Amino acid sequence: MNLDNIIAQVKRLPPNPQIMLKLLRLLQDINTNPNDIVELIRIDAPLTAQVLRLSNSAYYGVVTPSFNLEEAINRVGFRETYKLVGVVCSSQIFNTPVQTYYLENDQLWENSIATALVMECIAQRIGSDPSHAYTIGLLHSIGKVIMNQVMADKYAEVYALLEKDKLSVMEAETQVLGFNYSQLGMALLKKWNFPPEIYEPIEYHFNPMEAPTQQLHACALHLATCVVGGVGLNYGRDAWAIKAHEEALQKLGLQFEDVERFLLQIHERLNDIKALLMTGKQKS
Amino acid sequence: MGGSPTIGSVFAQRIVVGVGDMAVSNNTNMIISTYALGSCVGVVVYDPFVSVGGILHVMLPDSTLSPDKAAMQPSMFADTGWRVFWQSLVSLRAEKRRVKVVIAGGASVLSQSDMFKIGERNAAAIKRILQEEGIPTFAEELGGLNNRTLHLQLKTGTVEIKYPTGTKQLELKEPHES
Repeated sequence: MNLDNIIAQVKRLPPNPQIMLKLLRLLQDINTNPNDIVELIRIDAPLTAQVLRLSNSAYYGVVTPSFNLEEAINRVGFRETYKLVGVVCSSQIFNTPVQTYYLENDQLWENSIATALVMECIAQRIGSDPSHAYTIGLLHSIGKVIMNQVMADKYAEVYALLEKDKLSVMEAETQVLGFNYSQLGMALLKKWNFPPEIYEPIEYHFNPMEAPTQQLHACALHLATCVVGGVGLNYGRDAWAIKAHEEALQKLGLQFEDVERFLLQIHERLNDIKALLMTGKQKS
Repeated sequence: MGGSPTIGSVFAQRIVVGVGDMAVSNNTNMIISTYALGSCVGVVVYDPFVSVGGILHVMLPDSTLSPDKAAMQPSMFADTGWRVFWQSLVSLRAEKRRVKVVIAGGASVLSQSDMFKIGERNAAAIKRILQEEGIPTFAEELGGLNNRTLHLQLKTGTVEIKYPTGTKQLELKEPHES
């Protein structure tokens, strides 16, 4: 089945996070003028308001709130601003029940933010680009939102097979539907002009060793999904239907003990950003 | 952190135990809950005679990974977590010969890979500790593909184990103990 055709059938596509793509390009470019970032965000009035709100949250230890976007961005820094925009965009995409996967209200959003943070930790550890890694983690489940709209009626069969034959969600979806949600996510991000650096690790996050060009971040995302489960944020009926590939750990140059250390690290970071997420949630 | 419930939580009537945390109580109006146990293991201990109980939510099997973290948040690890949890229960007059224990969680990925066997290791660590303590488990709901949520009602000793597809109920208090 052609993935583009499936996406064309979707009545309500999730909001396109183009702003993230544009900001990511600006972040990668050393010649970027700080004003470009301010101007880009300012075009979008609701986004500007939310970035201001979030940048004034207790998370940043703000005493005197700032009502000026330029000042707020300078205070938290560009990379952090990018993450704030990510929090806003992802809440628009994921802050919804996704019945097909037994996900309530904001569970997919929490999972996406946590995955993004784990990806950032792994990137810092292995020395890859943390903003790319963050984006990959944040958007990795976007295919679930599509699947929920187009395949909900066939999904009972997926669970039956998954539970009977102890298959991973990727295997069960592929056997029943002919494709899986990570491929749907890839197709959508490709359609939205995201680069292979973002969509390829998402497409291959269940079978990272097969990723043609982005193996490192595919392995990182593979590991991140397990780590996020370890802090209780893999929700839904397929939460643990993952086949872990040990080679992914070797490819990242990590040991088993590192996995446990990531768990501790992410648990701490999640505690830290709780205040920030509450601020994001109130608005969405 | 654990210990006796605060005034605020008494009025709230529910204590929510986060990841790597614990709570014990002897207030029979209280429900103690912990959400989304994935590879973590939840330990429910209940003494029906004094209606004292608690939940420990362990994230990792062994505190040698980070003694600093264990000093700050002992409930994070099975070994240090059990020690503070048990001390808190005893301080509320729970007794070893009477307590009933339920352990749940420890979900694991499907493959045989060692990469993410934390669920199994957490479950094994808790079982080993209970064995050393000579405390049998009343019920074990371990492994599998799903997260679990636990609720303990202190008045009745009822434990609810919630899955995405349904709920299982256990009674830790015999009718004649009520």
